[in-house]
Amino acid sequence: MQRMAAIDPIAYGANRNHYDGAVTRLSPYLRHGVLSLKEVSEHVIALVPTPRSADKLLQELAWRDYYRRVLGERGDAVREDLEPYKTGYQPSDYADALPADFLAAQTGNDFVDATVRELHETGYLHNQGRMKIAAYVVHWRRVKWQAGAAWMYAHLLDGDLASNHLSWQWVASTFAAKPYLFNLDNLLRWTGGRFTGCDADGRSPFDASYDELNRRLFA
Amino acid sequence: MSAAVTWVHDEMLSATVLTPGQSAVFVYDEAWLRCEGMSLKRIVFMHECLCEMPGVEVRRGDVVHEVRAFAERHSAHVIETFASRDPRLQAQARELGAQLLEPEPFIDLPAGVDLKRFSRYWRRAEPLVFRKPSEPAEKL
Repeated sequence: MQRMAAIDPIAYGANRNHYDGAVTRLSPYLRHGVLSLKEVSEHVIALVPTPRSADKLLQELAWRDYYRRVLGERGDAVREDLEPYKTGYQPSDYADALPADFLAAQTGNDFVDATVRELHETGYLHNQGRMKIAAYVVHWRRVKWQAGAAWMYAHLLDGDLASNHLSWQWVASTFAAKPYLFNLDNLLRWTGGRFTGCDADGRSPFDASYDELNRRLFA
Repeated sequence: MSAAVTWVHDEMLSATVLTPGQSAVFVYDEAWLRCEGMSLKRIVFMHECLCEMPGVEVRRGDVVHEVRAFAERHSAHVIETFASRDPRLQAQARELGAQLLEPEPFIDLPAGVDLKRFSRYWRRAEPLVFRKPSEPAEKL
């Protein structure tokens, strides 16, 4: 298979977080069983001098295995908060539905709108895009993670109850010790200048230190 | 007359799951697609995978009803499928009384590993993940 042949575990380890990095885009095939985690890991290990040389890629496969095991243990409970939010807010403080401007890709923020459009048009998002848009929905717009997870699950070619819903819970902090946040520096670094991260007025809601964002966003 | 048929669900869209000489069916789960609002792109992706699985009969509707009817048409007494962790697929397999085949696991993790955090899982999984296929398994 062409995508398997194109895997470069060393490059993946070095630049996978960049939008233009050597990601494998195997996730739709893994989700639908066209390829198995075992098959991919054995292929990857055969490409490198020692398995440790492919540590980042093998760990990403392990995350998928981990989430599947959690799904096996928790079942449909993964659709609900597995733990309380660690944001200082209660679930009732979060809106139930995604805002209309977000769904229409008309928030005015170039990163947010482009990411929404990309998902709708391609069924794919880079992992950095997934995490950041999830953080935007839950922390900046204060919407329940379930609304965002359902939206992404419906549109992703690799939409998977385990990886998708549990990743949203990880960002929200209902399946993690703390919420996931990013700031403008981080956004610009991983997206390679593709976006300004600014709203229509030229200001960015992400342009602050992590301490400041924690003060602004959490109770 | 065949003793068994294969129910191909949406986590096993590979020709390698098919048993030679055994009839197989895939059913687009209408209730799931509608309830989750699945995109057309996702359906097209699944269709493309199914195109690589010659001989699989493709239907749409109620999964349990369609698979059961398929088995009856083939006079099959056994419905085989792959085990899944997805509660939707598990419930359908239970209702069908399907015989579950275990897909090859990523790693042979002992039962009872704490899954509360990835770090806890990783402490137990890491030596297994980084083991070369030729190396013997260490006792964990």
